[in-house]
Amino acid sequence: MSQIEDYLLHLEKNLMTGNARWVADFTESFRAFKINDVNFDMVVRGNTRGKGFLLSKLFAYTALPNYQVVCLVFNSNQFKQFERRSLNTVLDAVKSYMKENELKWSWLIIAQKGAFSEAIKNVVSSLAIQEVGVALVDVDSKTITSSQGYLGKTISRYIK
Amino acid sequence: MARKEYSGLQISDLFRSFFIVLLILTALYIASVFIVFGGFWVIRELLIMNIIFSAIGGWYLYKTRIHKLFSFDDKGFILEVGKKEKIVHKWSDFDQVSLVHRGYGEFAVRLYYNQGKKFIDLPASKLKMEYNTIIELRAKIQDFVRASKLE
Repeated sequence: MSQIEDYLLHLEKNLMTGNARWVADFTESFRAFKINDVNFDMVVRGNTRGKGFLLSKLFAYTALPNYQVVCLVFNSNQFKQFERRSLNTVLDAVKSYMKENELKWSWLIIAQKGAFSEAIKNVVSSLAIQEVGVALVDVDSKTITSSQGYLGKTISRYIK
Repeated sequence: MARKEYSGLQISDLFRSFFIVLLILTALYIASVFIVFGGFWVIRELLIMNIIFSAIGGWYLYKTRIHKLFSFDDKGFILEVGKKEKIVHKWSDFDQVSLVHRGYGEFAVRLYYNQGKKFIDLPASKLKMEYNTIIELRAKIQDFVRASKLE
């Protein structure tokens, strides 16, 4: 099994079993998901209103908004070299998927075996899109470079 | 590919069936005692009989209405729920496959059809599959669905 596949399985299990429950409750995972000619390796859908039991369920229903959200994972090896233009293509696909499905926010994880170029790291770390948190994950060294904003900051905590 | 079969005693469902029958019998017992004697008396023998009948009735209810049996090969699957419901499908009927967490550690493999508008859940955890087996099953089903589209 490849390192990327290992990472996907690990991340999928973590998200689906409530590792990110303070941010969202991820409940459904699709593999090999195509959006606008971009092949995402994994798409995990969820919402911001957790399930819980009795009191926590009551709290969730009364205090938490029910926003639909998504976490998309893309293997950068699909491009010869992952650069700004590639990132824009993937981001366009994410935004169109969000619009089509009326999603409030999304996490975009770009995984790769090996280090990303400094140029793309700089681009991502200066990104400040309010509704999309972006992270570059080097599955070899487990290094994460994430975008700015609330989603960008929270993403790195839950995708290791 | 040889047909594979998954089943297993679903303890929580069995208990649920038992308690449903127990609840009905207890309500009947209270009502009939009230009608006959005009009050409420606890007759120990009758309560024990209630529990025995609930165990028998619960087992019957579970076997005929709830117990799940799933079998599949590379052409399609059969999901039997109790003795009355039998869902038979070919993999080519489906467009998309996903893994669903229904809460409390319970997973299912979801199969979408009718261009993603409708779906069927294969209750993998209820069929006593471990998480890794569910992941393998999902991957196999995804391959079958993909292959059926190429045929």
